[in-house]
Amino acid sequence: MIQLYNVSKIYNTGVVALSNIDLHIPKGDFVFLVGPSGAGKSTFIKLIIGSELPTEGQVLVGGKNVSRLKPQEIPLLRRNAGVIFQDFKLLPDKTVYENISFALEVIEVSRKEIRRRVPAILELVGLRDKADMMPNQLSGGEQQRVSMARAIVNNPLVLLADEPTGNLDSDTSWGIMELLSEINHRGTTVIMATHNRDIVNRMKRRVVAIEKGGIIRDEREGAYGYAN
Amino acid sequence: MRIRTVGRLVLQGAKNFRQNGLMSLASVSITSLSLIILGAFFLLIFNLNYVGGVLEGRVEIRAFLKDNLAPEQRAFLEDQIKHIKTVKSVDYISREKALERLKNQFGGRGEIFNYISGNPLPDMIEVRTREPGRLPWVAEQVARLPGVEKVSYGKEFVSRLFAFTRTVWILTSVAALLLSVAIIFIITNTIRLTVFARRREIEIMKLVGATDWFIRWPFLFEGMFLGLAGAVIATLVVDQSYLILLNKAQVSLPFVPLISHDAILTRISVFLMGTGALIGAIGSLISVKRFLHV
Ligand SMILES: Nc1ncnc2c1ncn2[C@@H]1O[C@H](COP(=O)(O)OP(=O)(O)OP(=O)(O)O)[C@@H](O)[C@H]1O
Ligand SMILES: [Mg+2]
Repeated sequence: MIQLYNVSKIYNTGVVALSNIDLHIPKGDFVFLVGPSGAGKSTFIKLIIGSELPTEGQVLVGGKNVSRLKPQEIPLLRRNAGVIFQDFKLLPDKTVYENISFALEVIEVSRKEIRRRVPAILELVGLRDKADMMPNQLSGGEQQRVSMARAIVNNPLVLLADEPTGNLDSDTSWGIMELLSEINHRGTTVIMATHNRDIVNRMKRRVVAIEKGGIIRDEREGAYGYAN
Repeated sequence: MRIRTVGRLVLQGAKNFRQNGLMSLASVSITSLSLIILGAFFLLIFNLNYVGGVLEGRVEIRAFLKDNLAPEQRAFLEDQIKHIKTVKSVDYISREKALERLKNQFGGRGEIFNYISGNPLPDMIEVRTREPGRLPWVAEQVARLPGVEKVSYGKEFVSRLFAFTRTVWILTSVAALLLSVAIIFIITNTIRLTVFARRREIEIMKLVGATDWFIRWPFLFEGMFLGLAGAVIATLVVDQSYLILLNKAQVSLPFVPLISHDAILTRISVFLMGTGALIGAIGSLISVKRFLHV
């Protein structure tokens, strides 16, 4: 599904965010990316959706070389890679329903298809009765579930989550984790960058630990492994 | 792209235009003002060319011939003139015919010539050229030919007219450039406001895989609306003003040939609308560019 060969990313400020990364993530995997702040986790996610290009090496997603994609091929890549963020990135002047349908409208999904898919996805994330609310009327956990619904409504092959529980309390975080597990169960590859040791330790999934831009550990059923 | 999509993008463009009320108004005003100036310049150029064209038919070289030129000599001379580059036609006017014409020009008062004994006019050849710009050169060639006494043509006026047209062209080009920059500047800034207001939407569109063109079109439409709205106002103003000018000119300067209104209206409107829409589109592309790198 996702393969990185000797990937390095040096920002034009000279910061080495990632260096010589080799990593294979097969289809259906659930991977935690852990590591201290500034380790390069977000950079990793950006490389996969083509927001940043590797300075060196190859990033393959679904067999396609991301750095060789033409600019007009990037949208296709992103339709197959849903992303959720710590700050949700919802549109404040649109309802829950509109926030999700917006993501489908702008990639020209038919109206009929939108009417079918949005309620179904709201059902899945448990927000059916909040469809007409505005984001600021929702709790943090609910907003994150909207953001997740938006990321998966187009049935992506991979779901990338950058600290999705960063702003949430423990119970709410577990709610989000259950959803991610469910999505993973349905066949979507999930990659989640996190600082939440509790979650990582109890989920017992693959853990890739990054430090100073390099992979220092890659374990199946791994643990968080840091004291903090 | 689907038809529904096109409708959506146009609507979004119109919405941007409205939401940006005051700034939109400012851009439309500046655009129309600039286009009015451009339109006026182009009217001037069209008219100068038109006058040039009219004069082209009128301006001629008159070669006055030496007295007592034998008919064969004259025929030979005519032939030589015909072979000078850009010469269109050659007409021999005998002194008798010249006098006749002069009398006709004086209309009913032609009888005053009866009091003049003899005919003071020389024989002459009238030469018409295809390019009025080459007139001085042709005149010089004709003057050198044997049998030609003297050459006259509207030298001063013609060369001045062409120099003036050239100057106006240069001025217009400079004005067009500066005004285009002004229009692009104001439209770019107007659209930048909308782009900025919608930057979160743009970011999300990029992240969920909308194409760059899908993102650009509404701004492109907004820019073209701004440019076109300005152009429509400019066209109306230029058009009406020219009508008034034509009416006034007909009364006070009847001998100055001006292009009739209909002939120029279409060209000026097409030119102004095209320029407005194009510049609006360029302005919007510039504003949105920076926000597409997500
Ligand atoms: N756009 C950028 N330009 C320049 N440097 C950047 C940019 N983005 C990130 N960096 C630098 O690259 C390094 C890795 O950043 P990254 O955001 O990938 O870390 P992270 O592991 O996600 O950290 P955190 O856990 O705090 O989110 C940092 O030193 C950061 O300052
Ligand atoms: Mg990060």
